[in-house]
Amino acid sequence: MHKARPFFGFAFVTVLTCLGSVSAQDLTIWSLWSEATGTGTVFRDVLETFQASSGLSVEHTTFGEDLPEAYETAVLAGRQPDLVIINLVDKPADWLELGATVPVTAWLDEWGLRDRVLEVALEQWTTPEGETQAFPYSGFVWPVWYNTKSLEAANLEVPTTTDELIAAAKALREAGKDPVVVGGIDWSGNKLFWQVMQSYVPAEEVIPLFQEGGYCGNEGATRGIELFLSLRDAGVFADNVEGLQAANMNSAYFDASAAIMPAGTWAIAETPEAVAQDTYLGGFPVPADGIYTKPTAYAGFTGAGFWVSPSGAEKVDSVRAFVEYMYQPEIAARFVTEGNNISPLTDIPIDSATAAPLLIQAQNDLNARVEYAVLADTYIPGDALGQTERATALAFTPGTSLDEVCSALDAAYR
Amino acid sequence: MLPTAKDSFGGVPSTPPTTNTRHGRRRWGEMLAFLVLAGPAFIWFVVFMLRPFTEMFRLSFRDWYGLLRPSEPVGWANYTYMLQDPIFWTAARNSAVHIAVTLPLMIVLAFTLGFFLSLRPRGYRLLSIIFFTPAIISAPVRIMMFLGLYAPDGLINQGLRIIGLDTLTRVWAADKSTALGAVISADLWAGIGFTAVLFAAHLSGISKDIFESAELDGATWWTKLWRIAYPISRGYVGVLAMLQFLWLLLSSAQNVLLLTNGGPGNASTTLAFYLYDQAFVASRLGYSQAIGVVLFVFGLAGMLVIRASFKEPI
Repeated sequence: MHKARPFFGFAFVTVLTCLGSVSAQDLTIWSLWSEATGTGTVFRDVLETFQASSGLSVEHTTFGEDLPEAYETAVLAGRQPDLVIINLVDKPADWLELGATVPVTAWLDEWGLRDRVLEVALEQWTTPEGETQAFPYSGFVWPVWYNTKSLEAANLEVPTTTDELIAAAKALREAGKDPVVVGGIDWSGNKLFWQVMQSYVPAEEVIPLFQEGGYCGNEGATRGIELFLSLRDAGVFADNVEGLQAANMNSAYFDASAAIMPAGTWAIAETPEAVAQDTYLGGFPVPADGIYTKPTAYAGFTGAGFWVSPSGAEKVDSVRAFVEYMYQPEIAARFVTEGNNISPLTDIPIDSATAAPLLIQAQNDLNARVEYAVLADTYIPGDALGQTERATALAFTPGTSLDEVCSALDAAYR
Repeated sequence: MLPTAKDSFGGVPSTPPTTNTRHGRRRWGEMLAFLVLAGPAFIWFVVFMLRPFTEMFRLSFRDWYGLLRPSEPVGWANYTYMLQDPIFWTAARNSAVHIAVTLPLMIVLAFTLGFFLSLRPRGYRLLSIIFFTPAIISAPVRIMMFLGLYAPDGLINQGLRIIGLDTLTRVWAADKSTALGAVISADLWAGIGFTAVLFAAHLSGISKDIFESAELDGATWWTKLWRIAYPISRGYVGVLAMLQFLWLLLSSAQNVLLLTNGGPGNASTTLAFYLYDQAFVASRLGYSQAIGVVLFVFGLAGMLVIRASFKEPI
């Protein structure tokens, strides 16, 4: 046993050193920005230059969809990072209330950053009590992509009403193309369902509907669901759409076997140049008697923000240096042109020579072509989100009725 | 007359004191060695197995919404909610179907295949490796393979189209009538080969003389399998059936999550997946533990039933 003492001593010191080395970094950051994405690649480069210019050391760890759980577990253990970069959906929406993060309201003013952020973005990140939850940094638009070459080959223009869409679907099928492709089984189909569902729901009802459910008893919601089912039964969606995922959707649109897909600006980076040239960004057609007068799309500035943890609040100088660096126009512009993000900052130069044409189209032209629907994720309670996604997948399955779909949706809120 | 040992304790003869002490010291030494060697494992068991297990029961009586929120006692509320929860009953039915279909098929097919392997046919070593391979493929890889099979243009539908059965094509993992079957098929594929190799290892230990004698008496392959090999191996079959039952009941969440996410609707939601969904997606931690308690009760009951069914006659 005495021979083992040096080993255990060495192990003990090694463990202590490892534990100590975590807090030796000036900043620890957790994010969803994997280096497999354009945004992640930009962030890696930006972090290197930040460390070189500031002299601060940064430890950055990327996570998948389990980042919220990982962060909450770390908070419980007292081992949370200083900053976490994540969107404002589901679990993070509770963090401020639970003390897992600290409000950044005062810092926005002290550091002179408030005027740098678009007012609409600040509104989305600020609670009803007036606390800003994180430094906004990334947004998105989520239009509908139309392959104009496929439409022209079928003698079609971009449809703006659901009747036009049904007629276009028929013509596209005759021309050998799938009409609207979407991931019926996952989040992409889920968002399209909500977009159509709210076609008849007045503005003052849609947010409470998302927050509390009651779809079967809401006249506008049932009309919207019936509209969705009628589009399904009219062949508007690609064959076997109920089994498709978002990756299938992208593949089908990029190889031009499908003519229409709803996708966010994050898909721009993967788009083949030939397809991008033929793509018109618009909205999803609306019923002539609905509440929207233009095709609808989604937009938001809640794609990513810099959340400050309680340990980050103790390193406020380092946090300030990082945030101010990231908010520099030339740095934020890189996330736009190279990461295809929509920036919530007011003064970001977009270099039209280097920015993707689709991104320029999204920034400059989309607002005039669409009205923006309400993104349900922001309002549906976290404990109902998973069930509602499974319920909307049901809506894509041929033969499912209004009653089955709205019952499944309401059951998610039980 | 010198006193004898017999006189020491009222006439009861005894061993000499020096032998008693050595024997006692040896027993204490053995006990100490046992505690030192088994102690860490016992502590690990208490901390990482027993404690979480008892916590499951305790938390099932609490309302706990989110890791960072405090929990509060709510008595039997989680259980009364469960009785009225249609998704729970859908999941329970799906789990029952999942096990009722998969377990008998898996055990019967695996035992038959294992018997075949135990006969050491030509290439049995290679066959054993092939059959065992699904067990060493990670679940995500395995499910990716099945997603490719089940896709609208996957191998299954392509094969059906080639033989002119287009009307039978489905979106297998996304059709509410076939989604659970898709999960069952993936489990069968993963389990039959692995279990067969285990059976083969056991059956290889049976004396070949028994089978040769049976052959001389005119026993067919089928007779040897079910009238000789099975009765001899009954207890072992019961053990593997019990293990597979527990695996199907408690570990189905992984395959369901990767293959169908419990959908469409809740068509392929099993109890284990529902527990995961309530804990990690819905953050209803107290309710998820109540589901865990129910799973434990079902698991225990199932184990006892299987054990009684495969008990070897005296």
